[in-house]
Amino acid sequence: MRTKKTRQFAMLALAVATLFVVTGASHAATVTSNLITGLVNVTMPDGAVVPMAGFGLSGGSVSVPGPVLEANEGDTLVINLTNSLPVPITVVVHGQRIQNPTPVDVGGRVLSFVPHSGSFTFPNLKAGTYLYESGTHPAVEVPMGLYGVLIVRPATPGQAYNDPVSAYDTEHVVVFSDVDPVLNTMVRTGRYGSALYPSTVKYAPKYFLVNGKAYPQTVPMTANNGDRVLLRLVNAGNRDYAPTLNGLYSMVIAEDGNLLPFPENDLAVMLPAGKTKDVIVTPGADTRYTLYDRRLNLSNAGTAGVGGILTFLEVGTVPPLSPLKKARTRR
Amino acid sequence: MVFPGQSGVVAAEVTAPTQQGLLTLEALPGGTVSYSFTPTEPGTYYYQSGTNMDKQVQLGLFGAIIVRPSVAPFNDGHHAYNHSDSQFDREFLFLLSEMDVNHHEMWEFGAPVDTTTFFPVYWFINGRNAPDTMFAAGAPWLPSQPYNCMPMMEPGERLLMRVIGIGRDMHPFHHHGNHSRIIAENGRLLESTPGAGADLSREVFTIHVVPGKTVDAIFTWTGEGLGWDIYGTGPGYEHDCMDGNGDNFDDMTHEYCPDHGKPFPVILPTKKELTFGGFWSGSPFLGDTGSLPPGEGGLNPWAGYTYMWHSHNEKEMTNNDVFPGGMMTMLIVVPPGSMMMMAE
Repeated sequence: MRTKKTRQFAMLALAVATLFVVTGASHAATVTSNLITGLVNVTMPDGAVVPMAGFGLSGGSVSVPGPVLEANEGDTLVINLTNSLPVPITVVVHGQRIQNPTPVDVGGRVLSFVPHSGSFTFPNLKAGTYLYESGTHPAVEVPMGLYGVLIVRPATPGQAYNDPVSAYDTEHVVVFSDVDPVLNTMVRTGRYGSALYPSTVKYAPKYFLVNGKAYPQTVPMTANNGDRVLLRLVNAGNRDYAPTLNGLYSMVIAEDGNLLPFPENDLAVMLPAGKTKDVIVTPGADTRYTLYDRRLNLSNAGTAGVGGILTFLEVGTVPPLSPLKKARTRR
Repeated sequence: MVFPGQSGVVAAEVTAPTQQGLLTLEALPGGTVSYSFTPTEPGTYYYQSGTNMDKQVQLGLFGAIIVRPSVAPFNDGHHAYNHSDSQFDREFLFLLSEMDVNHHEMWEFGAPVDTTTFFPVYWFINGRNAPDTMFAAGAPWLPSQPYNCMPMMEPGERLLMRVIGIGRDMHPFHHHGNHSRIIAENGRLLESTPGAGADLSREVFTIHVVPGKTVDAIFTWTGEGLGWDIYGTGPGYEHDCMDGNGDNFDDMTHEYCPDHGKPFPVILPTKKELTFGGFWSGSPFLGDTGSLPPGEGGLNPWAGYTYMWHSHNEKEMTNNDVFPGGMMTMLIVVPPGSMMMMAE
């Protein structure tokens, strides 16, 4: 009887706590992001210059991927978009509700998932890691580079979600994507849709990017020994990737902004196109851990040497990387 | 070489030349590197080249690692992990890969290989394509492909599938005959808390094989609920179903007793109306052979039941456009006692 009462009390306490959270959410702020679009030329490691398009912050320059946007759980996110490109651009955030979801049809075919507008509103945000991208002609506009990441933080600082399993000391956003330079050139020169490149059916990526760069241009991430390192893995590309960290297990705690009931220990994290996964890794040594795509997209358009999706998690102080330097012998 | 899932790997030069690579210490041509580690967690793992992986792993520089449990009574050769949920009667390896033959030929001719054009036309289990998967291990005409993959079991046994994605592509590995229960992934039991056993295990009939991941699954075949007597009915097929321990199965033959005496529900066509596969014993009943035209049959001397296990990406059941082949083999469910006879 006593046990039952205790349980009832616990339920009541839980209900009160839930109410508190809901009440907290109703005090949420409106967060405004003023985004711009623009053209950008990206020089790949082999010297090829690929015409791309990107998002940027108003007053700044555009980039691929676009700027990381941040808000708190329960907030309303308003994205004001100033579009300087000659085609309509919209913004959708996969996994977040948009206030006005009416699609735009042209000739009976959907051109955009949401109305053509200068402003996009996402009320009552859910915590987690999300991909935002153009919701207009995405088969073309997304591979051109119009994508980025939204982080929504929960009430508890130092956590990715409202659960201690998601506690972290260091966090990094890791966006994977791919580029077919022929598509980009055709779009930029107005020849997309012609016999030269009629559609993206034969999309054939030649470059594979981590945070917009192919190895050896990739920028290493850093952490301290023993840290719980949160990696927010996002696939903005058209191919499925399997990021793996040599020497470490990746503990997958969430996918698509949803906390898993139990974390999964992965050697290679299956990351299909459009998906986000939050993983926690705990480096146990001062060393350079290699993060690469286990699907072995490790080439820059077939040029000599290692390229593609490869970067490092540098833990502590590590010597500069000189791949051709002879290793010290045991003697 | 890299050893995913292992910790504390130490790489040391034995013979020059070696060099520090992007992942680990590399042996240059003529050099020797020793890699050492103490495996601490039982499970299914793999090793592979850690150098120019888009070329070298594709060329075939990979293999499987099985770490056996050490804690009694689970160190008896019939457990995959230190828990009774991982008990098995037989175990089989499914190391899945694929090959773009053009890349191999360009490498052989010393031409630059653009691995972004990867387009595989051969698919492998343990380094063999069907039908080679079903030939004996160590077959002399396959000198560089020593491993076969022909799962065999008796009804009611627990068959452990150790499945590794070692290529570049995902493969939907479909095992006909029954569901399997995935008990571990990446060398870790699917457990909610340490010691809980595989309480987060789940049943599937197609294992999603991901490059760089491993899966351990327990497969059983019992014949339960088929709706007919697997040992036949009528004259010449007289037998009993003796269920002493109350598990609904005969204690010796593993027949499902509720279906005992139920006739085979199909009128079999006559031999003139049939084409024959090598696994057809001439009879639909387990352990029973029937008459066959001269030269037919012969691949199934124990008159077992055969189930195709294969990539359900059907294109991957070909050898350079020729069907059948590729990532495919057969499970043979043999009558009780057959495996013991084979062992002799």
